[in-house]
Amino acid sequence: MIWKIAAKEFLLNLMTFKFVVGTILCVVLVAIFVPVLAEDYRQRLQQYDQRVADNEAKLRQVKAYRVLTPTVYRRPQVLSVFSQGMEKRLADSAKIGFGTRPDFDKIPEINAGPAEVNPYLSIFPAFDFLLIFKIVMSALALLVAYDAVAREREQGTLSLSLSYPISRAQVLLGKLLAGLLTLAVPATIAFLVGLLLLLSSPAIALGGSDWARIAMMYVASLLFILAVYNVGLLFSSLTGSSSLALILGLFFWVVSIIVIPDATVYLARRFLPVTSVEAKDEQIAGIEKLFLHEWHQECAKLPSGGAANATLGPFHGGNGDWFILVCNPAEAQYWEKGAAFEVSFNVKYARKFWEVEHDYVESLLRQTRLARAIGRLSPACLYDNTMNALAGTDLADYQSWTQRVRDYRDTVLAYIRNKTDNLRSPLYITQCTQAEQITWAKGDKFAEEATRAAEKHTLPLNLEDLPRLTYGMGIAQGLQRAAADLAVLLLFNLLMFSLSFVAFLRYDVR
Amino acid sequence: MIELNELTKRYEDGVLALDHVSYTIQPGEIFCLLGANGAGKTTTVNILLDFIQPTSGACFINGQDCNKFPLEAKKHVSYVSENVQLYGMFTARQNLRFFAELGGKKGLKNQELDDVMRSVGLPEKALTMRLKNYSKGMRQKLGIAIALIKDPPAIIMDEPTSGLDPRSANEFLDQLRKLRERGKAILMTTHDIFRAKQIADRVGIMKQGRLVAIRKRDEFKHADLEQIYLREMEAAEAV
Repeated sequence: MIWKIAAKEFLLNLMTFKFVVGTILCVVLVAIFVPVLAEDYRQRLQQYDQRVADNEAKLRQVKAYRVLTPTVYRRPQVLSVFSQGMEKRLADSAKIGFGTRPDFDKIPEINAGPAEVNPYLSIFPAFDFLLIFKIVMSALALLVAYDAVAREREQGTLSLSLSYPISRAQVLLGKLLAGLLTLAVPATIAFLVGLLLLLSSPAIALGGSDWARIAMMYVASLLFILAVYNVGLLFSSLTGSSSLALILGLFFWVVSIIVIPDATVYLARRFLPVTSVEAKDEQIAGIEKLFLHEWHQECAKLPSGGAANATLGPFHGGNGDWFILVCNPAEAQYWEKGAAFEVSFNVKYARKFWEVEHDYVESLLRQTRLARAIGRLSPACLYDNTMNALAGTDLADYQSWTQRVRDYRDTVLAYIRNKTDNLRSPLYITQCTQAEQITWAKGDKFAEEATRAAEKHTLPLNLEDLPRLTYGMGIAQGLQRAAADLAVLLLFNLLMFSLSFVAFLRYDVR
Repeated sequence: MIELNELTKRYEDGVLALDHVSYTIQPGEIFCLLGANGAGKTTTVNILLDFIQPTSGACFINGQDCNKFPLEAKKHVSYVSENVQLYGMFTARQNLRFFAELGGKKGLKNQELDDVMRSVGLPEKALTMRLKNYSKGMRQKLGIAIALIKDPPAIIMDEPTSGLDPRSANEFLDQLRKLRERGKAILMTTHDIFRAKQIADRVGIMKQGRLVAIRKRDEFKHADLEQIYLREMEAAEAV
């Protein structure tokens, strides 16, 4: 019986003008924007590939482990076409280094955007699948739902139907099923058209995990539009008039799609202000002064400390980041004993810098978490969070990547220690021979000769076995991140339908 | 058979819409309920169809308590409203099939549906016409067809001739006679004393929730039913 009612409602919905217009609009928008977003992705991927290739080329020139400073890049997410999230607003690269200024631990949160603004809180992304569904499909869901009960009452068909041996629960479940089926039609067409256009782009290659996440996105999209439908159904069951149900529905739509997302940002900024960026910079400057002071003190204790201090101070650029050729015997002598000190010293201060940066980043994240918590009042925000999590364009994925970068830094350090006999090998700093160093020390005329001789045999390091950073996201991770919002969205549906059911039980069908 | 037993309904605002009303409609009988607006006619229908609950008393259709076991009771009754409004985007056949299936008649052939529609006087071209193009008279006929196809022992009609032109009303009454011949117990509420006199086996006269009189056909067959009605109303007022 439920199916019979659902089939009737479904057919009637398909014959409405609003359904036809909503479906066409949704599909047309997808057809317009998916190629644009696919092209954007292709360009970003091309840029990413270029940057990775450049980094590899630079690595092939490295001649001393001290200047091994690989840069890691965050690969654009292919599913950003569905939900761009925060991907384009956050940093996508980080430089790993040990021998130079210890700012490697600043990666990459602080570089993500203007210091005064929390980049995680911006609400209007590009016109992607998510936005099309949030605006067009939710409006269609509301238009289908608002008169589902009230119109039938006004027409008199509800009392006729209920004069048959069917319960109100069956009628309402039939309407729910019909709503889901009706809205699944444009949603499915939009997804299929979007996927076809996406796959026609040569840059797009979808793996098994991507397909699984797309399937989950489809389910999440249906849950979202069903949530809006259920709200419309509730208003339709609460009021005896379809026009009143429509007004209430539109009010909900505006509050849910526009007001709450905006209000979350405002409230989060109001109740959890971020740490002042000026105060943070002052603290950093203080630590830098302390760093320099301690550095000079410690260097003086090292053999040939003066020479090392003069030429390889903490901000010394050397021969560039990717090439180092030291023929100064004083420096070489220093580095034989001082490299281990430099690395541990830099790492120690890097952590101090990071503590300050971390406090600032944490204040941003607290603000973001509060905004997300408030946003859970709105199914649109829940849908946002779910889609971003599944697409890998959310904050959690970004944090996961930055953590992975930190782990990778340790991996690189372990690699260098392994290759340089725990930083004691001269290879850490130079490939010059003892004889070249002695020649170099005789004076300018000899230094040039020693340098030329050294250049002949100084070859780039073989870094083929250097571990590369790999970062990818599986369906399990996506689901884990999306689970909470998906569950709340499901609960929202259950709650709204339960309320509709209670309202419909008390509904005066006369 | 339709049975009302001391049926009483007092609304939340205190209005007594039904006051201990009892009567029984036998199979093959047309019982017309007469009364002014607010007399309690539609309230009776609403309680019989379980749209509202009685304050006290009970009513039964084919022996099933309408409010305790509404789904069971509804298996044995069809309802024709004052203004049959079906699904305008569906054809008459689609509407009829939908309600037939709600009533448990599944897998009916188009021919069977068409035969029922023809039997109530719907013209051939109307069978596949969308309901939005139907006149009120045609909709009422389709309403009868919907009631017929369920084939229950009882039929409840709430002001079914209201707004019908004389010809349509007469055709409608012809259909009612056929239903009576098929042994249906029919409860029809109406303002229309003229039509009630034409068709009713008994009339019940209601005033302010009370059933003030029941008259058999023999009592009004050769009399002026309107005069009887007014006399009973005045008597009730005096009480």
